[in-house]
Amino acid sequence: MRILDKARLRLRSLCRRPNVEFELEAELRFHLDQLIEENISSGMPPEEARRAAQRMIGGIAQYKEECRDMRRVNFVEDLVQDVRYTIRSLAKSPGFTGVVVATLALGIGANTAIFTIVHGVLLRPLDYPKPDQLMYLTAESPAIGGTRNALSAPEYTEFRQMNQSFAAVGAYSTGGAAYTTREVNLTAGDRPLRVRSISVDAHLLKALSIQPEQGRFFSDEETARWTGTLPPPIAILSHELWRTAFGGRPLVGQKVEIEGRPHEIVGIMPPGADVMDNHTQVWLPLWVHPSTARQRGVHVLYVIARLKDGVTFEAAQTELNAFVEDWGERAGTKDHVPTNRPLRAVDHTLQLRALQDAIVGNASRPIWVLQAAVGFVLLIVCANLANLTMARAGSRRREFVLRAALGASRGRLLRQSVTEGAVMSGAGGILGLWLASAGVRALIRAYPTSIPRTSELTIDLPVLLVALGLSTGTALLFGFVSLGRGRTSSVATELKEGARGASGAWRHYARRGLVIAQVALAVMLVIGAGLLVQTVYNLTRIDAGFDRSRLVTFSMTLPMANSDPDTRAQAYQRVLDRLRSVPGVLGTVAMSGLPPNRTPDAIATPIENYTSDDGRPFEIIDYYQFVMGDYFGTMGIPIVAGRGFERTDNASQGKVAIVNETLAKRIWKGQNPIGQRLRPPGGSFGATDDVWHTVIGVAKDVRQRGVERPAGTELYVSLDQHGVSPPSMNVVMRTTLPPAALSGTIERVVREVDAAVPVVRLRGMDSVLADLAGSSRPTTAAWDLTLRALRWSFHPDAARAPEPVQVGRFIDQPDDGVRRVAARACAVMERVCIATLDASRLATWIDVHSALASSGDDVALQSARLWQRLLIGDTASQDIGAKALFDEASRQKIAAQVIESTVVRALVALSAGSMDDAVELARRGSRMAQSECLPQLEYLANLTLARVRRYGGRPHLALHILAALARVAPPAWSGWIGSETLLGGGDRAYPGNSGSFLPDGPAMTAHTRLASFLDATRAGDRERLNQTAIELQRSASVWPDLAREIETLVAVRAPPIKHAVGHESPNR
Amino acid sequence: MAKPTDFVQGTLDLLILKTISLEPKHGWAIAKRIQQVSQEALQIQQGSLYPALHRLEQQAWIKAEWRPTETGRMAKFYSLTRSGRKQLERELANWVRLSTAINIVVQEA
Repeated sequence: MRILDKARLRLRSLCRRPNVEFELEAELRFHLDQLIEENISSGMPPEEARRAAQRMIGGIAQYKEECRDMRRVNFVEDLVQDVRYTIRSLAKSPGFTGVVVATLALGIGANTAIFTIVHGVLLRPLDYPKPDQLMYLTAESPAIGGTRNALSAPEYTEFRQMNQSFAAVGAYSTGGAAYTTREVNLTAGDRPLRVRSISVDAHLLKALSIQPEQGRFFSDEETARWTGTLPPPIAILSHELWRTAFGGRPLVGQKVEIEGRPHEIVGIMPPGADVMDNHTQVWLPLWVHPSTARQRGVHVLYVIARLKDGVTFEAAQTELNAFVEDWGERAGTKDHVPTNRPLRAVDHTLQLRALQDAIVGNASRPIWVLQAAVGFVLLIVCANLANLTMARAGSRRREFVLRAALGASRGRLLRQSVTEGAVMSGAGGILGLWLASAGVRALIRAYPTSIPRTSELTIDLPVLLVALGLSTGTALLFGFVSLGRGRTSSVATELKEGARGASGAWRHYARRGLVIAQVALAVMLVIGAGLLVQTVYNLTRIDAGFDRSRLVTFSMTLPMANSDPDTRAQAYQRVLDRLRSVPGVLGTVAMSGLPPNRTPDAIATPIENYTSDDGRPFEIIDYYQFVMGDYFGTMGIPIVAGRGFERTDNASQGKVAIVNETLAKRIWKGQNPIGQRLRPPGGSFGATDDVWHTVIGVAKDVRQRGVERPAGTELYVSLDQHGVSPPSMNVVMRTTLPPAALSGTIERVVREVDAAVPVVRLRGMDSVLADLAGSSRPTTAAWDLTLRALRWSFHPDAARAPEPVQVGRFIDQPDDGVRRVAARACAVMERVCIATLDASRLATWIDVHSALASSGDDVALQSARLWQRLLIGDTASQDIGAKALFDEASRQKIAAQVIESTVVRALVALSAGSMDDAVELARRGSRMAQSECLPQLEYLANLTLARVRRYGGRPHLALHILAALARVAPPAWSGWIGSETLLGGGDRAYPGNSGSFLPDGPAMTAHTRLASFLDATRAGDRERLNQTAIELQRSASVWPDLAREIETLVAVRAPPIKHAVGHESPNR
Repeated sequence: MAKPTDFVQGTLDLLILKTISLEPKHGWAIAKRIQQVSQEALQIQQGSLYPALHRLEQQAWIKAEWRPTETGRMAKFYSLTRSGRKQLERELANWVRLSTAINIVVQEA
């Protein structure tokens, strides 16, 4: 009851504040009046009575304050008041506020972003039940520096059966004999997809404790029966792939084509299910080729195990160590275990790591370093801001002192400054949170593979709490700092001191301390950043072993099922042959593993006359590189001894191989490796038998597993000699073109060879255009076309021209921006048509262009139409059209069309016979083009100027201009330039470099025929003269202005021909 | 400037509760009454009185209503609530015990 009353009263005080305030006022006023009345009745004059009363009761305001305090709602009221006051005072100094909030936002944002990563990647447990029990098992070979390798199939099987510490042990493989990459071709409907795959056995899912969402998981029988030549045709799809590629329709029990073979879908995984951050889309049954399954030297299986309840990591590792010691006795084979000490190259131990560590791997340290760095940044931010607030507090000292004098308690003032801090850090925190979420997204986009577990990164509750904590912490810090002193001395001294503007000793020391701390932190950061930059710089300078410049690469996989190794090899050969014939491609090769970042093969290879330290006749070779074509020449890898593969090897019976320096040094130790023999297992690249290969050369080392790691041993085998190929190959082209210019060609060539094969990972080894070219987004494709058009307009020999139909695809694009980009491709091609005087192609491009143009104010389109009319001789309203375009382009400030319309006006003026205008306009156009750096328009304007000069009776000037143009203008202009030159009486041969590719077009036809006609005239060969004259007149349907000149020329030089020319000579 | 703590707080509360236990009074009348009854010995400052009244009201021991005085002016009259009456009894008992004890000590020692 009383509690209710109290609550009601407080609520009333809070909600009906004005009312309560008024009552309080009235009550105190009543008291005052009573007092005055009493004073008057005791005989005082009224004025004096009032003064005495007021003296007696002191400050009403203070009583009111105390009464309010008694009502105990002051806290909320004060808060509201403080916040209001703060916002008012902060708004008065926007510069200070802006700096503080922005600095805070950066500090908090950076910290929140990095903490999001720390939390999501490092701290949050894996999404499996009891994730602590999950262990990742690897084979370590300390003697050869190999760490974290996979296990061989016999090792895995024996370990699973014999171990004591683990509740479940499962294996997966992302490579091996069946599928050589982490990706497979999958056909959803009629769409070929390249999807991330993983091969797992039934035990693995037991170890991870995940269950399919629908259907079933693979049975033990299905994943452990390693017979035949291919894995059983069953698969499980990830939830995500099922939703996106199949629209979530019922799929279990149905067949889907994977790698060209129909696979039965037996289950669908729950959302987010994955292994080792593989981003798995399709799960396949684990399968090891029967021959591989028996080999202890072939390490293909990655093992994940779950500890039994109550077994510690140490206990399990101890068991593991002991296990390796007496493996021989248990398994009945001595193949695996060391027979004599010290360790030999093939020795290895088994090593446990927590699964989470294994996933996060090397990323952990950089992330913590980053977190520490941004932590320091936040400290600097705080120091900076503390300094700033202290400086401000100095100038606000009087304000505070005055408020203290007016009765504000010290706690109240402190609260005020804490509120100020809170408002600023609150704003900074909110901004920072926004920055952080944007930053994390950008980070993931920029480095999708360099941070593990990115799919799980979100700004969630713990991250929000950290952001909140950061904001609160900084708020408190500010509050205390800005109030800034141990104890308030007397108000009077304060006021005096404040008036003098002197600063207390405390503040002096504090600020000095802040500056020292700040400089120290900044120096640390700068040194750290400098070291990082140097590391990156060193990495870029490491010689990867091959010449990375101007290499374009993509990879493709031919389905296993419908092609045997021979036909596969032929298909690759066809792709390579066709790509080699593409202009601008200098060399094309295919290889099984793409340096500088590929997974090791680690294949046991018998070597002739060789005994390893422990008496075995084979050595494990880290990398096998199966190559097609002139691999060493194209990649730029030097051969340091012997020779590279040659075409003559292909026919010879004796198989040849090339080794790298490391392999030569390790095996033949100073002996001559040339002529030595080794026998790589044929199964590794699709051959049927193991054959002895003779070493013919030694290649310089190539970094294969990241440029920062030392090169391993490597063996090169020429597939050209064997006529077989593994299913997946990487193609590398050395070319003068960027990947963007090649993407269309590559896709066409691959499609011609096999329509079901997707081209993946097309990119330039040294180019940022990589992602641009591989992407299929409409914007990218439109830009690609525009770039190709531009490139073609300058170098028609180095690129394919975009076809109108390709650009036409964008007509239905909903995105205005994409259509505008495509329209630019049209504009470029239109200018090329103008250069070649090709009215009919110009018309086609104008059609496409007008369909793409969203509104009528596309001046480029108007300009193209103007030229179209000019080229077909429709001169009726030329000048008006040109003037209108000139005005419109000037208004929109589009230089190109201003120049184009000026040139048109020059040509129109020329036709009309006003020579002075024509000269003036042509010169103006030329000048503008030059100052605007628009080369194509400069050619156009100068060509027109030359024409005008020739008509103006100054052919020597015209020839001078034309000679200069011929040297610089791209091939598209050569027809027109050549024709002008010949008509001006210049050299009949086209003065440009005649070896280059010349595009055809009416201008070019006119030029060549003009040249042969003039030849015939000079030779005096009557018959040829007639013949060429007829040809010339036929071709003269180019541009009426040009045609008229040609006809006049024919009429003058070859008068007695049948079709007499009706035109008069252009004696203007 | 007198603050509530200057007075023994419980004592001021007791005086107020006792003063308004007979009939509702406004602040001025409470102060006057205490002054008269104590024969001018106890001077209640306005600065102590009103915060105390507000505190008691917040405790729901007294309640206030606006009523005209004899002169016709509106004033805020305070009266005891039921819980206030109980509180008065408790405080009285406390006071008697305490003052007796103090008396004994003062006289005997």
